[in-house]
Amino acid sequence: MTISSAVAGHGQSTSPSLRSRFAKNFARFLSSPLNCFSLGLTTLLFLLALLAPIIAPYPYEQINPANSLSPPTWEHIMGTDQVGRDIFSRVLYGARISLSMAVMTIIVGLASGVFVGAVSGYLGGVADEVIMRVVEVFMSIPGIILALALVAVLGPSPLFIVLALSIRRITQFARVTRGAVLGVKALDYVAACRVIGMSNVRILFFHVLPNCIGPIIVLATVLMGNVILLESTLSFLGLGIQEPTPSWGTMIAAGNELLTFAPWLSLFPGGFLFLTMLAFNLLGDGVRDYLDPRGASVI
Amino acid sequence: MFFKFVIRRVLFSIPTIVGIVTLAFLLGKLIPGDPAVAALGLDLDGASTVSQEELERVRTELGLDRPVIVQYMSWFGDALQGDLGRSSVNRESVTALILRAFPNTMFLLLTTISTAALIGISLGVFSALHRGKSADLVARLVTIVGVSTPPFWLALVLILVFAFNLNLFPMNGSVAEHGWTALVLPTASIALQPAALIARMSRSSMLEVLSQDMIRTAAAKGLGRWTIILRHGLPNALSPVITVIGFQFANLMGGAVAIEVLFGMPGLGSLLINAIFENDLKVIQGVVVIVGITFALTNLAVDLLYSVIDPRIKL
Amino acid sequence: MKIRNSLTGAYGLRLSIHDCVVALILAVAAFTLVGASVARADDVCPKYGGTFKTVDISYSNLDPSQVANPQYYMRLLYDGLLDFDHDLNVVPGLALDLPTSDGERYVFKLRDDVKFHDGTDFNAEAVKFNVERLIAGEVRSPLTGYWKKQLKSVEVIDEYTVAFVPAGEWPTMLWDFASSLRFASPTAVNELGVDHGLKGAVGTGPFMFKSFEPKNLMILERNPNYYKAGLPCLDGIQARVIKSGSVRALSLIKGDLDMINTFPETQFPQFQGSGVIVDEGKSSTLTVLAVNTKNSALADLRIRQAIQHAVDGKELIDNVYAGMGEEIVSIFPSWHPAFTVAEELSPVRQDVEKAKALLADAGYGPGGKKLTLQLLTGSGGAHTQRAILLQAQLANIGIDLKVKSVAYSQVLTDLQSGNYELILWQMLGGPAIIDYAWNLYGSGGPNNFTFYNEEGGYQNPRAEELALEIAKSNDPNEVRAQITELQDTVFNDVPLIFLNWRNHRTARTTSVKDLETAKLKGMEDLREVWLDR
Repeated sequence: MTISSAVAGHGQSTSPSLRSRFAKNFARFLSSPLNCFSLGLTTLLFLLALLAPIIAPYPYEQINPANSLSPPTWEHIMGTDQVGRDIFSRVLYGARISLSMAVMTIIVGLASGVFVGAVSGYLGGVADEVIMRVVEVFMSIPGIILALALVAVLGPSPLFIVLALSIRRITQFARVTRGAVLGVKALDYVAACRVIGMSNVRILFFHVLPNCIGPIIVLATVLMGNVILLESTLSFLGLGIQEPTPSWGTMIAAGNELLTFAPWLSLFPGGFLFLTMLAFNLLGDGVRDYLDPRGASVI
Repeated sequence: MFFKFVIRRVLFSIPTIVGIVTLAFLLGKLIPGDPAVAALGLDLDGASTVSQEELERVRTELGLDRPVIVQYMSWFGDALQGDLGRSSVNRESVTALILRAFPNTMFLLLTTISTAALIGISLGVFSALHRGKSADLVARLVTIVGVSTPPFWLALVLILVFAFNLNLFPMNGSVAEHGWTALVLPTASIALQPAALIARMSRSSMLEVLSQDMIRTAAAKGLGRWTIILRHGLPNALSPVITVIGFQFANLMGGAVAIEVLFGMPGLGSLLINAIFENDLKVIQGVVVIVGITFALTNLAVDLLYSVIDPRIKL
Repeated sequence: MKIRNSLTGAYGLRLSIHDCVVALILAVAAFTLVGASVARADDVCPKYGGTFKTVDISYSNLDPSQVANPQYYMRLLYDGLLDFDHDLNVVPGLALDLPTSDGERYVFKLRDDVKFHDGTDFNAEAVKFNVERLIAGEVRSPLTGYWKKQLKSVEVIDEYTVAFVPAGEWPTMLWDFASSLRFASPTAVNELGVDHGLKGAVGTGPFMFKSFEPKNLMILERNPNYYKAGLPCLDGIQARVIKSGSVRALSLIKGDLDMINTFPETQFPQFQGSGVIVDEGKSSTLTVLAVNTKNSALADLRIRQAIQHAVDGKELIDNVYAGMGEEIVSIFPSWHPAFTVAEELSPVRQDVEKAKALLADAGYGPGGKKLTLQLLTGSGGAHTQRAILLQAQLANIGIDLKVKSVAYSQVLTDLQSGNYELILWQMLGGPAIIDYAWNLYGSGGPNNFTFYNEEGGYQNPRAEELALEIAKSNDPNEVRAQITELQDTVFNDVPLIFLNWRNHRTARTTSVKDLETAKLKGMEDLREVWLDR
């Protein structure tokens, strides 16, 4: 509460062209080799996930009991699992699941959170107080506990998992957006808009929000890694995506049973989970350094 | 002015707590399956014959036959008095269950956050002092790897290497059983992430402080390098770090649930997971309430502490 | 000491059969045992002491009214009037002998030398107290409904004589007494109230309650006054919950545990060369797909038969059980006295072409409608593995099987409420004939969850008749013809899709002695187990 509200936005005193600002920032962003690396790795992961049906040598659900628990070979470069499914194919489809669930979670969280936060910050007063108290309630319950409880209630279908993961994101986006809106609202040009008789809706969505976009983007990037980890943790605990759909967490948990005998079962999905989180964390750092150097979007 | 802030902040945590208790109640209303069936404690492998009248009796006993609003009022009233009901699985008082699990989890979290703070601050300060040099780069790399390692996966590797192959630490069990050695691997598994984030914050905060006039003045006065760092640099750099530590304390729970289950530690995480798999409504609600209130109070404490350290901050 | 030993020996043999050949064998056995004990030292156990460390405890409460696996945990704290031996013969426990019947009631004479762990006497009043507490539903127990249905009343005749009046025919009475009726100290129950089973649990059994944290740790210590003098051999038992399969296996290999009895067969290779002894019990678990015959598609006999012909139970045995199971040749397990190999096994064998033809005949498959069914199954380990294989086997004949994994306890809840299409069910039977016949196929059978012969479900009056006739006898030779016919009937009707028999297993370290893996899962007797270290 204190940190985010202490930050006085990113708005310049006018409302300049967004596109040119982004282009400039993006070029600046790419000048760092570490950022190039993280952007490259992220793109690669998204490509792998997207092209999984083409790259994967086997259908992810194709069993082959005669060749179960095979160690990595040329036919199965990451080995096979208990029923002879190809781990490499499952890891690729797992990427698809993890990334798409994370992206959907961020989209739901961002859309609802930004709306709630913007309205709350712009209107102020009683509405703001009430919304912020509700946000506070959700912020007090650790993400994993909230997600577990919700999945227990709603059932582990992909839709409900995304919902369970989003709720806390909504509050995080709402807080950051509210902080930024409060800062921008105080600037002169907003008062000027009012003077010329612009409607509140128009001011908020066309003139205030665009200037708050920095910390929101940073938060979205930073949260990707968090959400992917959270989703994997749910799967690992048996409350996430259900078999036979591949999920890294489920694969690691299944490999846990045979840790000494068949380490490849959990090694490869775990490695991919690590790489994905590494990519998003590096990317998040880079984006933060350029868009939000003062750390307004600390979560 | 300051007291007004403190009072305002403390009062604000009341609606938060009311909200948490309400949220827990709503969760309970949505849970699938028949809690009355779960309450009869079915045999895990065989089946049993449960008559309809028995189910009705249990429903009455659990208060499931009353109007929702009445159920809510009585839930709220009981919760205020510290009565969170009884486990529908084995009739044990939820408060007792939680009181037994709570210290285990808190002990794990406090050990972890202290370890993480120690490592994180040292690493951060070290990194700041060697800014731009290869040592700084290595430290930053360690940091980013730390943040990106999934705790439950790390735990598996640690169990395999340190508990099984090297036989240095127990692979399962509570502190009550094995003493402090039982905490080593679980702590190592979840301390990495907060340590990395604390290191990052310490580094940037330290860099900012080091560039301030005060430090330059101190250097001009001819004070020793370490005197400057320890007496002037660190105390000033630490205030934002404390907030990060507070935030990380709440985030620790994320890793702790899986780690408790994996290491068989009888904490709140294990309690919650068992309750979910057994459809044990009251325990799920109880854990949400207690964990929620605990972290609401932690947030309050962090805010108050921060305002003491840095009085410029207002609510 | 000699006398005691000869008694123990005799109890270990069949008392239910009273022909003279058995009596002769019995006498010889008794003499052998007496001889053996003379040759040994004074004590019953070769070695005393040590704490037996194990896992897999799934109890949430240790009250005698509870049922969970492994069942032996209940037998550590409590005794029943009747007990059973390794071959599942019913033998006297706290009663001096099997009950005598006057046609209306069954009279038990009780031992007069038994005390509860709290020092109070075990007597007829204590028996009455426990039975009435169970029947009244004062404790939430899955047993309450069953006992209430079977038992009319219980009467105290004198301090050590008690009579039970059954409500009707009760072919499995002796086994039910032996396996599920146990006694807690009335004094302790009154004192602890709902906390009996949590903060304390006071029985007459070989071990006494020391501490218990549900879902975490149970510690028991030796009962020095156990009524079978000289037993148990162990000083104590420590059972904990370890969720992680690999940690369970690794702890056993490392020697932190003495025995585990729930682990996936895929872990067998991990034990190779580690000195761990893996022991199997044959065919304890009937693995089936329970079919909801109320479901419109599944009510069609052709579709059920198609599913039966599509599945391959052998593939599951080879892949999931690492070969440790048996194919279905009878509705009884191979160790059961009623085991009768069916003459015609083709109805329960894979035949993909026939399956496709049946499905097409019912209007599904290529050119027809697509059949989509939901399979409910437990989560993790072997549950998931089997579901994945079944999914592939059914895909072969064009059935789309959607798998939903939930906690196994939830599977059983849904099974009982009839809220399912197909359920992957591991049926744990008992020693009686009825366990595999009436209970599964009779209308109102306690384990009939397929609505077979029940209202709205698939009907076959002949099966009902046969199941009823078989239920009246507990001697397989009397009803062999009916068993054969019932078997052929249900193999043809397939209210359950028969998959296979799964063996159960225990894994233990070499220091554990005299532990025999029980015929039924989780029924091991730990009283005579000792540790050599």
